[in-house]
Amino acid sequence: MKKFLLWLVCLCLLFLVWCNVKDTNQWIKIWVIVPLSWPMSSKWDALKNGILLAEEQFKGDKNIEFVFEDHQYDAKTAISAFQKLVNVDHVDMVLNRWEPTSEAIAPLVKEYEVPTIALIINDEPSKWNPYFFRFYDPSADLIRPLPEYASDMWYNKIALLITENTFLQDVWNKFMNQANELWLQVDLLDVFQRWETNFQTTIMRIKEWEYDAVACFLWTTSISQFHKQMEELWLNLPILWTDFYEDPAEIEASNGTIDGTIYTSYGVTEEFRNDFMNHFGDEWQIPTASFTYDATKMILERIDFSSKSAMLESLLNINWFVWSQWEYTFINNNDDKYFSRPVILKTILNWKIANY
Amino acid sequence: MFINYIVHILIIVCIYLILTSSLQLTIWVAWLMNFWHIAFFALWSYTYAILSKMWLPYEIVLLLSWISWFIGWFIVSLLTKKLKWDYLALVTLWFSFLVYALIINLKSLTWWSLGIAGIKKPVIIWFEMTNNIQFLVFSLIVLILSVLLIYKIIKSDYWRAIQWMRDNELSMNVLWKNTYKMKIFVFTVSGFLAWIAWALFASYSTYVDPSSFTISQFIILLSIVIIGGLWSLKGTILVGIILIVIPEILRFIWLPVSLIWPLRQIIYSVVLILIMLIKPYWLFWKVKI
Repeated sequence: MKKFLLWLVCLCLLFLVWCNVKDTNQWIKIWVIVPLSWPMSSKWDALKNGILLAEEQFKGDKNIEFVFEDHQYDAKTAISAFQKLVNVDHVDMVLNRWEPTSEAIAPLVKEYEVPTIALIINDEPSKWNPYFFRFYDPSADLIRPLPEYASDMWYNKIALLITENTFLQDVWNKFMNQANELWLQVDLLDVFQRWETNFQTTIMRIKEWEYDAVACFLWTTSISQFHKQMEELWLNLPILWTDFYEDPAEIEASNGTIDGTIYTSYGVTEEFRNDFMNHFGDEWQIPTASFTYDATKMILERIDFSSKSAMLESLLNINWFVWSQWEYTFINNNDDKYFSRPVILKTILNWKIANY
Repeated sequence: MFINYIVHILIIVCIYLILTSSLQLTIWVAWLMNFWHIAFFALWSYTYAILSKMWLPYEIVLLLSWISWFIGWFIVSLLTKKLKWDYLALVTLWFSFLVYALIINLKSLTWWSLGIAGIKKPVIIWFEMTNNIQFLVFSLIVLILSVLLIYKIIKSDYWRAIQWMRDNELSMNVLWKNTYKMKIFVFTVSGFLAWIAWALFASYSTYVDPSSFTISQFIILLSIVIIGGLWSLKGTILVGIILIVIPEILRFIWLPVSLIWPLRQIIYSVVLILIMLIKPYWLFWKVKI
């Protein structure tokens, strides 16, 4: 009986695998590698909807298929996923979201010569890889308005809290350097892990040492906890963030304590905002969806898929474009290739995202 | 091209089999419950990565990383001399956290959580591995040698003494046998094999980052060892292949995207539970629990 059950399970699996065999050789395949399971899977809907909106608005006749693969925010899983996409599914292009998976697949991108657009902040993978393009400004440019704002507001002594993470690591390091250049004192008080939610000791230290502001570069699930604990401990200081905060779950969980914080991010055009709201009706997805929307629009309208070299050539020749996030400029600087756009200051007002 | 994907899976399988065989040695054969495998994975992978970025010859990189392994392993073994079962498990677990904290905070060496990319591929006596098939052959050779080494050790007389120590350490001490030396021997062999496995992985993926060395990764290895069965190298190998291949098979399952990704982990867990419930005694287990 037990052997029978085991064989039954194996046969079911094989059947399901067989069902997945479909002939789409004539289609151009764009594989989107994103975290579809924990962590960061909460952003999945927004990423997907940005692609769907762009596909819907595309009026051309290219047979392009966007298919999604899960990297689970893990480097080893991303490598396996990429190997499958390239060797079994014969993808034409890859769209990847977040570190450290982009760094892990970068050598494979070069080896298999698959043009890859990565929504990442770390510039190392694109520096030595002709097939790797970034869809994010370097961390130094992304974070620059924040220390400048702090300097304008006379926040001379800033407490810095961070969560250990590839994205946040790069950002806070640049923030600290730029703040020091502006003669601001930035003290790194604590480094937390993603699962940590107890910040009371750190908050008490901030109170005792009389800081002017707090630079809070925490993980998505920690943000609301930090703010609530701040309120409980009667700490009322200006907070400086990253765009990790653009998460409705965090803002709601913080019960309004997040209001008034300042962070750097990208704006979107009113046209895109209205289009997205008409289609999906979720305002919170707009910032994240705008990335994949723009990347998809660029792929659909500007890339020549006739050959690999043509794809690469068309990517390198995109000097600028305008879609959801104002004007993009292509920068090819010491081999770091990325699409740049203006960074602005934003804030949370009355539980909603607003431009500062 | 499909063959490239199969080759990739086989390489990962080889690496994990070396790892789980080494873990099987300490946990089941010698009953030394330790969690420092993952800590040493991290240390050795990073040591290998840092040294390989210095443009030293591959043999020098291997030698230096082996020396660093030996020093680290020896020191930790010395420190845990008098610890047994629960205490050993706890101390080694916290040692893992210590190593993880070091890795994510030493900017100049490890680049925090950004990881180290661009690790060189192995070069064996001027022969540089340029493709995955060569790497697979190399991994298979290493796996076979590792399994042979473990097999030889298990069949030796010294191993009978170690098993006796496992079953009744007090009686061994009464007979003036040096049980500490036996434990060191087991740790050394196990650690050496784990070092090989992680050097292989670092050179294959050419990238290491702290997220590969969390406790959740160790749980996968532990699951393979436990499900593979007590004292059963054959079971460990078979279950290792099954548990590593299943997630790859699940990539091919056709279901709507919004369903398949959450379901994948559920399916994986269900398969694990089914294997435990079914427990093909004639294949996996030498001793029934």
